[in-house]
Amino acid sequence: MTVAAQPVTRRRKLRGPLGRILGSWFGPAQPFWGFLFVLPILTLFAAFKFWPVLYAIWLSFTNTSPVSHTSDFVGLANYVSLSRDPQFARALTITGYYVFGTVLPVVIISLAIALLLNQKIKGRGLFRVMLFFPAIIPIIVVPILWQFLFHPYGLVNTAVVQPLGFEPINWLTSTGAVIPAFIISTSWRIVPLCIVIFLAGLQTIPEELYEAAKVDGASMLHQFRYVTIPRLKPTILVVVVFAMTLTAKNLVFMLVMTNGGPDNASRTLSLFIYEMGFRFSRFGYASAGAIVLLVLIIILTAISVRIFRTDD
Amino acid sequence: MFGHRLQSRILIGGTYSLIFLVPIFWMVSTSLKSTDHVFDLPIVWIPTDPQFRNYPTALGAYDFRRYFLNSGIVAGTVTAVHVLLASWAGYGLAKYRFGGRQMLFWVILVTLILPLEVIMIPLWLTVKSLGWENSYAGLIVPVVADAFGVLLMRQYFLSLPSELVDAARVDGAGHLRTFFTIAIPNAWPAIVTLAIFMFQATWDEFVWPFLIVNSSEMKTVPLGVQSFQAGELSNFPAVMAISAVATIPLATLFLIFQRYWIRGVATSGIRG
Repeated sequence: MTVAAQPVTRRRKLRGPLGRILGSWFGPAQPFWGFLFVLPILTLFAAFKFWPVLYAIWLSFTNTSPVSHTSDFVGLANYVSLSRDPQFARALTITGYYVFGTVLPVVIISLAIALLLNQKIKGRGLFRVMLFFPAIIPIIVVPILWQFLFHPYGLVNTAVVQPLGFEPINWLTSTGAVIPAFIISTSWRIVPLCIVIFLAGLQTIPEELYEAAKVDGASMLHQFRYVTIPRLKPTILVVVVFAMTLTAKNLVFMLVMTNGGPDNASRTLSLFIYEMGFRFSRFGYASAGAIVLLVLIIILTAISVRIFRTDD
Repeated sequence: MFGHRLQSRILIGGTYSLIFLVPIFWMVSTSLKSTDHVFDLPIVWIPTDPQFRNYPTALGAYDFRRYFLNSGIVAGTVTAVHVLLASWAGYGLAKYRFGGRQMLFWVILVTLILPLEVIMIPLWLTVKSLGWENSYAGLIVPVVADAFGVLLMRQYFLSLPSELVDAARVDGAGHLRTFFTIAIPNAWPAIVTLAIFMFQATWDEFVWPFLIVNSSEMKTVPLGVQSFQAGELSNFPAVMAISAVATIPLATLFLIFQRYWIRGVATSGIRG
């Protein structure tokens, strides 16, 4: 073999799948620098996102507990116990009620307000700022504040329920009212955020489309149905997924307002996981619950993507 | 002809804003009442005898100076480090073509729907085994790994003309130098947006600090507010005073950087 032939063979060796990858990394433009730039944050992702997910999956197949000092592989035992645990079933139902009960009104209300604010009305800048205020309150303050507002003699009863002619409601201490109370306070917090996302989406719809629709004699309702909604689908998807994950994972409200009470009526899946893990130290069992929560979020996200997918 | 419609719109808009603002107004108003007048009927919106003393009394009961310092250190560090690392990653993903780049982007992107609540147990175990309980490291390092910044900066750098970058490279500037002298100066709007967003999100974080901090001197503001509320359960004015104080930093930040704050939320959306 001659010396001159060597680079040729080397270049030939660089073909094939591996060669293509190496070439794409170490070509003349030094693309490996691109990877170097990603590497620092990728390391953190690996340590504090990907690894914990794998760890959680592994834990869910064990009976790990610092109390009993066990950490044995138990197969699907945790999942089997979960499926037979009435508390878990209850937590699932309550989470479903809370999530869907929040997402639907939040999407409708925030879209309505966004449409209103998208019009050229006087002082809309001021409205936007004022409407946004609930979103700048520290999240920990929100349940504390609403706990007071939902007090039997609190503002919700004295300013809304009683003037409407109803008996005052024990919002946080009656099993039927506690989730509605969560839905109201959660919506108060996230509607402003969703309005902002919707407004950003509305601004991407070209004015000409409405002009054209008007020329064709389309009513406001028709314009909404045939111009706004189809064009807004990606934004609706973002808002739905945003509101869904935020409520499904919510733990702060339960920890501050009810601790799962009364009679477990507000013990959601995330509180179930928290209590199993940090109160009863059943890491394996709690992790199985966490994996179920993750799978549910993935499924719900996938369903939303299917519903609101645009064809282009 | 549309004067009437305009009026009704303002009316509707005003009513909506009222619903959103009344609770906040109630918080401030209650913080100035004395304990026995909290539930006076008819509702007193502007206390006739405002108890401004409630504020220093409430603040003095717990070491809030320390909590504010901790929150400032944690949120400030997370913001600075995250902005740098996310800009690097966004730049690398947008301006270099290397194999597996798309996959890398998607792998980072999917973590947007991964809530802390799903991984809190293994994350807590990991951080504990590193000996980072009750420490700034524990409050800061895990929080820096957030996908939103990578997403935002990548998007921004994609719109940055590659000619600028190439021209600098042809002139002999190194990769890092090009990043700092060409990419960063052109990305200020995105950087400010990201910084505001991250600062707010970190300042606001409750669950993670709640899990790894139990010593009083490492508490952040949200933890301080929660302990205060748990300790002074029936002292509504004091709890509302603390809540109002805890709101001031974020409210100030919002009023100054409103445009960037709102832009951050508008682009964040998906971030759960």
